Order: sequence, then C-alpha cells, then structure tokens
Amino acid sequence: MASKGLMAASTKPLILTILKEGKSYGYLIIQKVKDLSGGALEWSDGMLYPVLHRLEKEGYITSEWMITANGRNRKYYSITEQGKRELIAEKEDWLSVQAILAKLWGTIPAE
Amino acid sequence: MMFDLETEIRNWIRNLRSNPGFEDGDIEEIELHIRDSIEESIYEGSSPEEAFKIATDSFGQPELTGFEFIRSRTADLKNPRQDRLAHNYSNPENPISAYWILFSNHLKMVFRTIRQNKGLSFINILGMAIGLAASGIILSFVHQEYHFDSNLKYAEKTFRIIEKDGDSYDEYGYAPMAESLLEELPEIDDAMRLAFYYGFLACRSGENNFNERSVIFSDPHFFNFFSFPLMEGNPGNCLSDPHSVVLSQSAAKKYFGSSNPLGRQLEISDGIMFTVSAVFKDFPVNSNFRGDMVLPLDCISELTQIRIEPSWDYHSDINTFVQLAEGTSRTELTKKTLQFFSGHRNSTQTTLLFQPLSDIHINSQFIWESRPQISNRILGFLSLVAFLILGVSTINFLFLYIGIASQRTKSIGIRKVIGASGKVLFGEFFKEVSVLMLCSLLAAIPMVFFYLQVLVPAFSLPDLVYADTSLVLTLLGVLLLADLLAGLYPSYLLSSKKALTLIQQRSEVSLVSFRALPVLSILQFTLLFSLLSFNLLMQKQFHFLINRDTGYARDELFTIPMNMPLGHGIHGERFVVFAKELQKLPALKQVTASFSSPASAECYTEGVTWEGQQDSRKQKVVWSWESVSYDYFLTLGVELVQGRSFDPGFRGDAVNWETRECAFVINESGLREIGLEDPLGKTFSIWGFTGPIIGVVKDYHSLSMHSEMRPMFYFCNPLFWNEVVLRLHVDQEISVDDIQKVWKQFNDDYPFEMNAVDEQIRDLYTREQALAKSLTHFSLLTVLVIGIGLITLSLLSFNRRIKEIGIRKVNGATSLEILRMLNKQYARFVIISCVLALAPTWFFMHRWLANYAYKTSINWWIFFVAGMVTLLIALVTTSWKSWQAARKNPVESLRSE
Repeated sequence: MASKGLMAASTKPLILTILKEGKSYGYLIIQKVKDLSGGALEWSDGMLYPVLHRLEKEGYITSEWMITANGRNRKYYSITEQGKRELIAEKEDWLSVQAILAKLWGTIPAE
Repeated sequence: MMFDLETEIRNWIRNLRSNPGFEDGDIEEIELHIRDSIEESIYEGSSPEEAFKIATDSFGQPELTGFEFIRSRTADLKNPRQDRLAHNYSNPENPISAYWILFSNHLKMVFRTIRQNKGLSFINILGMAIGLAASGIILSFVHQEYHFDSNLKYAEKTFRIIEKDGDSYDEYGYAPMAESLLEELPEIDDAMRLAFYYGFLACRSGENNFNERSVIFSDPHFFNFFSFPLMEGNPGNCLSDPHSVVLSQSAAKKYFGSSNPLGRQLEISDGIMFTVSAVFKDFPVNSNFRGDMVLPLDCISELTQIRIEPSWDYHSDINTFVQLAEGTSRTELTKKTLQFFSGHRNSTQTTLLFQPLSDIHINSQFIWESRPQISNRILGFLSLVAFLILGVSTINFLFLYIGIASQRTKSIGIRKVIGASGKVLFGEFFKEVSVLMLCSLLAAIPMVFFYLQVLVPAFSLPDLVYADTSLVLTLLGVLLLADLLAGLYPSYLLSSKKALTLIQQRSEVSLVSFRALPVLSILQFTLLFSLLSFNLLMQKQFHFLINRDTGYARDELFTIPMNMPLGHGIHGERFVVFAKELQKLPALKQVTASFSSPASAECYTEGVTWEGQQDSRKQKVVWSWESVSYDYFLTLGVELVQGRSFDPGFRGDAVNWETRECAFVINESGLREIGLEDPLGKTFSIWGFTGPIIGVVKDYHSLSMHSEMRPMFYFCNPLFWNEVVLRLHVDQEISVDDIQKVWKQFNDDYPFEMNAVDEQIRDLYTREQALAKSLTHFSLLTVLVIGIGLITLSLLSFNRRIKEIGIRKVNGATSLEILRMLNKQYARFVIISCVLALAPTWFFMHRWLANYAYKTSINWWIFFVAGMVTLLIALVTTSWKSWQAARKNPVESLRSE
C-alpha cells in the first residue's frame, strides 16, 4: 500500500487522467481508481470530495448537476483546458521522477 | 430492533449537517455517493445492514472530510489582504470583486448558521422584532403627543397668549388685544383670534339635519395663519364674508353627498343662511383643533350666546394666537408686555406669556381645552415601558445569540487553529448579528402595519399619524447600539478563549458566565412582577373612577341638547309648558334644565364675594357654577342639607335682569369655603348679580374624578340653559319616540338627540381607557418578550446541567423528581424577585395614584395575583425544557464523557 504523502500527491494526476477520458461523477471516479490500482491505492471515499472541490476551485475541472436516465440528480465533473495543460505538466514531472528512480534502481537492486 | 436503511442513512446525513465543514451541495453529493455504494453492495448480495456498513466504512471518518473541506475553503482566506493584492494585479479592471467574493462568502456562512438553528433563530428574530415594533410604536406615540400641530408650516413660531396676573393665569383675552399687539410690538409677525364653541349648532341642508359640536369661530385669515390644507376654495378670502362657512371634508360629504359643496347654502341655527366657501381636510388626530366647521368670528353673537366685548373692559371667550418674528426671546417679550398692558388697562402686574402650539396638549392646565389632554406622567410611564421592552428584548437577543453560538465552539476552535484571528472572527460575528438584526427590523415593519391597520381600528387604540426623520433615526441608532453590543460581546468572549479549550468544550468553558444566569432570570422576573402589578392597579383605578358613586342618580338621567337659539323653541317661558307636556309620559319621573350636563359641569369663575367675607385674597378661589331650572336637585336625586331649592313660587329666585338680583344655592364645599355657621339669607354676589343664599346642597361629583370636589354655586338663569335633563323610570319600557313626539311639537325644526348621562360619564374616561388598554397590550407584549428570554435562559442553564441530570437519573431519580428539582430553582428566583420588586413597585404605584383626586386602594391581592402569574409564566416557559432535560436518557447525556 502506498504512503499517505504519495497518495495525496498522486490524486491530482489520477483524477485529471480519469476525467480526460470523459465526464464522470464522484462514486464512479472512486471505483475507477480502485479498479486501476487493484487495491494498491486505498483511499477512503470521503477524502475524494474535498480534493474535487479544490481542483474545481483551482480551475482544472468544472462541475454541473445533471439528471441521469434513472431520474437521479448527479454532480458530473469534466476537465477544463487548463486542467489538460496541468495534466501534461504533471505527467512530465511524474515521468521524470520515475525515470530518475528507474535509473537509480536499475543499478542498485531492490532489497 | 429492525434495521431500517432509510432511517440509518438519514441519521448519518444529519450527522454531516451538524459539521460546519459541509455545505448543502457537498452533503447532497455525498448522500448520492453513499446510496450508490449501498446499491452496489446489495446488488452483489449483501444485506442492507452490511451494505450500509461497507458504504460508511469505506467513506471514512466524516470529521476528517469536513476538516479537509474547511481547509480547502479557508486556504485563501488566511490573508485577505495579500489575496486582494494578488487579485488586483490579475484583474485590474475589477478591484471590488475580491471584496465581494469575501463578503458573499461570509454572508453565505451567516445564512447557513441561521439555517442550522432554524427554531432558535426564528425565536430570536421574532422576540427582537416584537421588541422593536412595540417600543417603536410606543415611542412614536409619545413623540406624537409632544408634537401636536408640529406639521403645520409655522408651528415653531406660533404661540397662544396666556394672560398672567399675579398668581392667576387666563387663556381668554380682550378682543382688541390681537390688533394692538400687531401694531405696537414689532416682534409680532401676525396675530389672530378664535373662539372654540362647545355648545350645539343645528345645521341643515335639505333633508340633512345635524347638531354640530366644537365649532370654531375665527378671524378671516385662519387657514393662512395655521396653514391647514384646503381641498377646495381660497385660504385668503374663504372667511371674509360674515355669512360664509368652511366645512371639513367629512362634513361636506355629510350635508351635500358627493356633489360639489362650493357655493351651496347651509342653514345654521334659526334659518340663517351661510354659503360654503371652502372645504378643508379633516383635522388630524395630532391637532389641537377639532370639529367640522369654521365660521367667521363676526357672526358668533348671531349664532350663540357668546358676546364679544369690543373694549378693553372685559375678557371675551376668545383665544389669541400670535406668530413671533425669528430670533425673538419669549422672556424678553413677556417683560415688554408689562408696559404694553399698562398702556391699555389700569394694571401694573399683568403680563403675557407665550405658550408654544405643541405645548397646549401636554402642559396646559386650563379648563377648556381644544382636545382632551394627556399628562406628562403617563407619557413618562409609557416611555419607560418602551425602553424596558427594548432593553429586555435586546438582552434576550444577545443571550440567545450567544447560546446558539456556543453550540459551535468546536468549529470556532478549529478555525482558530487554522489561523483565523480574533479580528476576523469578530467581523464574522458582527456580520451575523447584523443580518439577524436586519431580519428582526424587516419583521417588525409588518407588525407595525398590523398594529396601525388592524388593531387600532379594532380596539380603538390611539392612532399614529405623525412621525419624522429624527424619530426614525433615533430608533435606528438604538438598533445599531444594540447590534454593536450584541456583536462585541460574543466576539470578545470567543477571541479571549484558547483554541484548545474551545475544541475540548469543557462545560466550565462556556460563553456565558453562568453566574450571570440567575441574575438575569431574577431581573426578568422582577420586571414581569412590577409590570403585572402596575397593570392590575391601573385597571382597578379606572374601574374605580368609572363606577364610583357620583352622588346622584346617574343611571336614570338623560340629556337632550337645546340646540335652538335663545327666544326660540323651548327656551324661556315655553320650557315650563314643554316640561308639563313631558311629565304626562308614564316613564318620566322629573324634567329640568341646566347649563351643562350633570356629567361634566365644567364652568368656572373667580371673583365670588359674600357677606362677612374676611380675607380679600379669597377672591382668587375658583368656583364651579351651574345655571339650573326648578326641580334640578330633585331630578338629580341630590339632598339639600340646609334651606330649600329654587321654587317658581318665590318670584325672587330666578334672575331679574333689571335689578340684577337672584337667589343662590351653594354646595357643602362652598359652605366650607365661605366658612359661615349660618349661611342661609347671607348675601352672595358674582358678575354683578346679588342675592341671598337660600340652600346648601350635598356635595356630588359634577366633574370627572380627576379633580377634587370644588366649591360650587347654582343660580336660576333661563338664558343659560343648554340641556334638558330627564329622569326616567329605567325599569319601565322607555319609548324615545314618545319623547321625540313631544319635542317635535315644540321644536319642529331642530334635530332631536338624547344622551344617557351614564354614557357621558364613561366618555370622560375614554382617552384614559384607550391608554390603559394599549398599555395592557404592550405589557402583554413585554411578557411575551420576557417569556422568550426565560426560555433562552433555561436553555442555557439546562445545557450545562445535562450531565448532572444524567448522573442523578443513573442513581435512581425519577423524571418527576428531576422536574421538581429544576422548577424549584425557578420558583426560588420568582420569590426573590417579588421580594426585591415589592417596595419600589409599591412606591411607584403610590406616586402614580397621587395624580388622582379619588383613588382606589393598593391591595395585597394585587401583588399576590401578580406574583402567582409571574410564577405561572416562569414554570410554563421553563418546564418544557426541564421536562425534556428530565426525560433524556442518561446514556445519551453521559456518553461523551
């Protein structure tokens, strides 16, 4: 299981990536994260919403209330242009970190 | 117990609501999340109970989520200034928007807090609104009483002239005075004379036939001088023709319907035709003037028995009003009038005083005034009640607000940890209080309208027609002050506490010092007790005044106004014939005539002399007088203690105009005044009439009970008869038609009107009754406000004692025992309050009763009843909370420890 700090740092690229594939709502986003990580990233569901709130406030995503086919009201989130740019930047950061770590660990075997 | 999924979800969500981190949108979204999760688990085969557990477990701790929400929201509020600067750089076109975002955010939070405590906030707003509305109405009323005729254009420079001669004051003056003042004193801009006529004038237009009362006779420039607005006609010349009449709007409607009254003819008194020259807007409630008709002063002798003496020899029944030039000192001018007077009359000490127009209603001590008056002391009492209501409702508002705020000490503590400074918190509390105050103010406005539109007409309460900006500003100022206080106090309390103690929320770290609670409760009970006792006493006094034995047969007496001019109808010799005709009716006991109704013989004079009078200063004694017909005392049912009554058998009894002789009867007070052992046959004289005292009549109340019994003399002058007085067998069926038939035989042209003397006596007290009634209403409102305050206080103190109650219950106390214990405390408070309030209340009651010549007693039962009612109110308002506290499951109250 990943550490708290790492999880907190990874939420932003994770959510932005999921939303880049299309608009989605809170419960579904959580499920996707769980499916993708196969349980390696164990969020408590409640922590997702303040993050969504902050991302929206920072302008990376927008939200709207919509009525779904079964008549239920849902808050859908979608990524903004600014969010897409941010995702590219995030991706570069993470990839560069990963490249450095791979370079390091490629020569030093893990214990 | 069965597991009910819906209930569990609702409870879980309710728990979220009590957390200030969540906004409504967040909660809705989270609820959907939980439901989605539960549905999926159930779909996969879990039971509802398991599904609920899975969903809530995987959601995690709501407190942490709430905390995260707060952090994400307050992240940019930590330093508003920096934020604003950043915003200004990024958005130079709209520097205001940063403020606006901050402000609207705060406003949103304020409304959220109010919504979280819907019930209590509603009580708080309601209580304050009632306080504001009631005190606003009372203060406006008092203000109105002090500003009679203030809305007239020249109100501030208009004065009534009072003649001061040594110790005696007179509002009646000499007819040529107005003109001379204008000529000789440059300080006087304008002067005018008018007479208020209190008799009846029969008026007729075609079929419309009415008695007019309170007619004003005036110099021609009345409407220019006082600037009462005219609906029709020209204020400059509407009274210049001696046979012109100006009608009020309602009188014009009464006589001429909807057709144009201008130029129409009105027959007044005995066939004298007057032309309607103008129509004025009815005199408002806050005016010294009343009545529906203004006539030229020149025609007063033609229509009434009043004579205007054109020389400086005698007073006439006229008031003189003047307008002073700007910057005139009244005291200087009064000094100057000494010389003015000595130039016209042989007088060395007579001066003129200038009474402001607005003063007439409040401070005048003269007998005949234009409108029933109100005493300064009653107005003082009303103002006191107003400030009490305002004070109590503000204090209650403050404490209830703090009570509500103390429910969120935890969130306040968290905000302090995050970095909210005392200043920021103060700003927020201040905004919150301001919004609540504003809501109360808005809620008070419809209450005031309800009072004016519904209650005033329904209960004939005193109406309000006058308000000015200074009053509104004062009220708003008081509101602002209360706001400041209420905002300052909790902010100070909160910012002075350490964040840690706030978060732990230990019971001793409470926002209100609990030592203050009993003091506040006792204060409210003391007020309640005093107010109730005073109200009871007031009702008792008015009941006493109205029903007190007047000393004559008031229930059997009726009066008919003799509204025809002298020499017509039943005046003079024909009265005897008329009386004989009436006596044939079986219901009639006696019939007589008099100058005024027995209910109010408000005629006074000085200058009475008698044989053997020792001290010349006694001339200053004011005597009441009454001109009566034969059988007067028999009709009234009043005993003669010495001598006899007027008798047609004795020729010298009635006034003889040639020799100026007549007989006099005096009352017992009069006898005490002249101090003679054997008054019968002694000479008595007044106004140049001289004659023997033939009888002494027992004292009875010919005046309202406001005044003491006065010395009074009676004489028999047929020219001075205004009212027919009938005494009827009230146990027999009385046919007014029969009496009217007889009236018609003698006075076909004049309208018939019969009034019960008992009703007239009640009318003497209508204003006081209206006042007493409105005082009762306002006191009830105060009781309501105090009740709300008591609920607040009990709420605050029970929240504190919840654990104690829990422990007692665990140890075996029953709910009833707990209830008794809690209520015992309040009963003790009530007893302490009553003891504290007793002496000052008794003192004020005593002072108030001293205003009345005839007063009821202050009984012990007044205090007993007031005390019992206070206790009842205390128990009713506190019991619902006590009961709740006593019934509470101790597991719940002790769980958090």
